[in-house]
Amino acid sequence: MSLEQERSEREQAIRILPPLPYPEPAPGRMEGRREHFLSEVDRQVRSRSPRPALRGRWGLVLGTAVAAGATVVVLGIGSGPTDAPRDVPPASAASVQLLERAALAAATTPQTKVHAGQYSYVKTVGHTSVLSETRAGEMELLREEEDMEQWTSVDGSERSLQRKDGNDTLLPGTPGGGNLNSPTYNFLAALPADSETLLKRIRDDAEKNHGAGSGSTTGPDQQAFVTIGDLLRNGVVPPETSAALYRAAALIPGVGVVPDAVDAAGRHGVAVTRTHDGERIEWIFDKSTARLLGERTVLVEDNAWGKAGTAITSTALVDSGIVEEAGQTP
Amino acid sequence: MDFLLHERVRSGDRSAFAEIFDEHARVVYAHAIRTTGDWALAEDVMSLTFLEAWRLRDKLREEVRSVRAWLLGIATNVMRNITRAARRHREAMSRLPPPEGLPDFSDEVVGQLADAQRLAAAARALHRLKRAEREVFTLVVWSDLGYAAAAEALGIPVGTVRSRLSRARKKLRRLVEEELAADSHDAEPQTGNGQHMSQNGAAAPRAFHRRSAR
Repeated sequence: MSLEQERSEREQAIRILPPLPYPEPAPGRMEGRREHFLSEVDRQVRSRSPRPALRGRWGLVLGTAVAAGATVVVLGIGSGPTDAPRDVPPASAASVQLLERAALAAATTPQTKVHAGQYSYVKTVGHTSVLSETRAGEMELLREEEDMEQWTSVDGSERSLQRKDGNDTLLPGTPGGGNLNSPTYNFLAALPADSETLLKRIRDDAEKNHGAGSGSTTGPDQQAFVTIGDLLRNGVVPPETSAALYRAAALIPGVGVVPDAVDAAGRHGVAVTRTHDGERIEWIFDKSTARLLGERTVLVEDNAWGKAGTAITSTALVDSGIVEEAGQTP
Repeated sequence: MDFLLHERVRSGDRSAFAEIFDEHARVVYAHAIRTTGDWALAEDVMSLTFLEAWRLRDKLREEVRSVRAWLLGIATNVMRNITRAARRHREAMSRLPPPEGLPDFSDEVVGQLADAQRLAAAARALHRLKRAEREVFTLVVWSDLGYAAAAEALGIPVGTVRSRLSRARKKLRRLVEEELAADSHDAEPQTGNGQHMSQNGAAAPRAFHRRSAR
C-alpha cells in the first residue's frame, strides 16, 4: 500500500465525518488539570537524595519536585516547614569536630593534576526506594538497586557516561561547565574555598528553590545539607573544595552525629546527620581516617515508606579517580 | 523521540512530563471530546490518560516512537473502560480540584452551541460503529494519525487499521445522515450531563445522555 493510497483513503473518510470544532476548555481548567497531574506525579516519585545517577541539567527540578512530593507522601507527619530557625539548634559540638577532622583529612590529600579532556570517575553501590501506584490502585514501595559507574567530563565539554547493569547511557551535557546540581571537576575547583562564602552561595541557590514562597517545605537549611552531600559524593572533589564543603556543613543548624552507621557496602562508620520531616540523612565516615564512605537516609518514625530504622536510600562510594577516557577505570 | 526527553523520562523526571502535558494535553482532550461528545468526561479522560502515561512511563524508554500516538493509544484504552481506569486512579481522581466556573453551553456563544450539538450528533453516529472501527476512525481521521502510528497506538497490524477504516467509512456514510436528520427535530445541546467523576464519585461513562428541556 502506498502513502498516496493511504492519503486518498484518509481524505475520503474525512469528507464523511470531518473532525468537528469543539468547545475549548476555559483557560483555567486546563491549568487546573495540569497542576493536578503534576501534583500526583510528585506524590508518587521518590528518589529523594539526588544520587549521581540523577544528576543532569534537570537535577534541580527533580530535586525540588521530589522534595515537595516526599512531604506530601509522608502524610500527616510534618506538613509545615520544620526548618524554622527558632527551634533548630546550631550544629552539635561532636558534629563540628567530626566535620573538621574530615576537612583536614581531605585538605591533606595530594591534589591530582587534572587537564581538559579527562573524566572524573565514580563507582557507587546502593539502593533507593520508589513509591508507585499499582494496577490495583494501591501504593507500593519498591526498592531499586542503584549500583552504577559514571564518567563526567572534567570541564563539561563532553557528555557524561553512565553504566548500570552493563548498559551504557550517555547523559546530557552540562552547559557552561557545570553548576551546583550538575557539577564538573572544574566547577568544583572554582567554588569558594572560604566555608562561609561557600555556604552562602549554596544557601542562596537553595533559597531560590526552597525558601519562603517557593511552596517547598524542605527549607534552605535542609536543602543546603542535601546539596553538600551530593557534591561530596560526586566522585573526585578537589581537596580544598572538599575541606570547604565539610566546614560549610558545620555551619548549618540542626547538624548532629550518630556514633555507628553502616553504608551500602556494609562498612561501619560514624555519621554526620541532619533530621528533617521524619527522616535522617547520614553521611558515613571511616572512624579512623575520617574519609567519606557513603550516605543513607533512615526513617526515624514509621510512615508510608516503612518502619523507623529503615534505610530508604543508601549509597556507598566504592571507587573514584581521574581517568583519560570515559569507560576507563583508575 | 528526542534524546533529551527520552533520558529525562528515564530518570522519572517530572519536568519532562510537564512538557509532555503542555505539548499534548489539548490533542488528548480534543480526541476525547470528539469521541465522547461530553466535555466533562473528556477532561477526566485527559487526566486519566496522563496518570496512566506516568504509570507506564517505562515504555517511553524504548518502545515508543511517537509520544502523541502513544498518548492517544492510552486515551483509547481509558475510554474502552473508563470505570477501570478511574478505579485504578481513584485516589488521584478524588483529589481533583473542585470544579469551578463550569462552562454552561447555554450561555456560550451560538457557534459553540452549534459545535456542541454537532459534536454530540457525530459522537452518537460514531458509537453505532463497532468499537474497533470507531477507535481506528477517531485516531486516523479526527486525530490525524497515519496508519502506522494508529497501528502502534492500538497494537494491531497496519493492514487491520486499513480494513477497519474502510468498514467504518462505509457504515458512517449512512449513520451520519440518520443522526443529523434526527437531530434537526431536537434542538437541545447534546453534550452529556457535564458532570465530573470528582463530583458524583462514580466513574461510569455518562456520555450521550439525552437531556430533557431546561
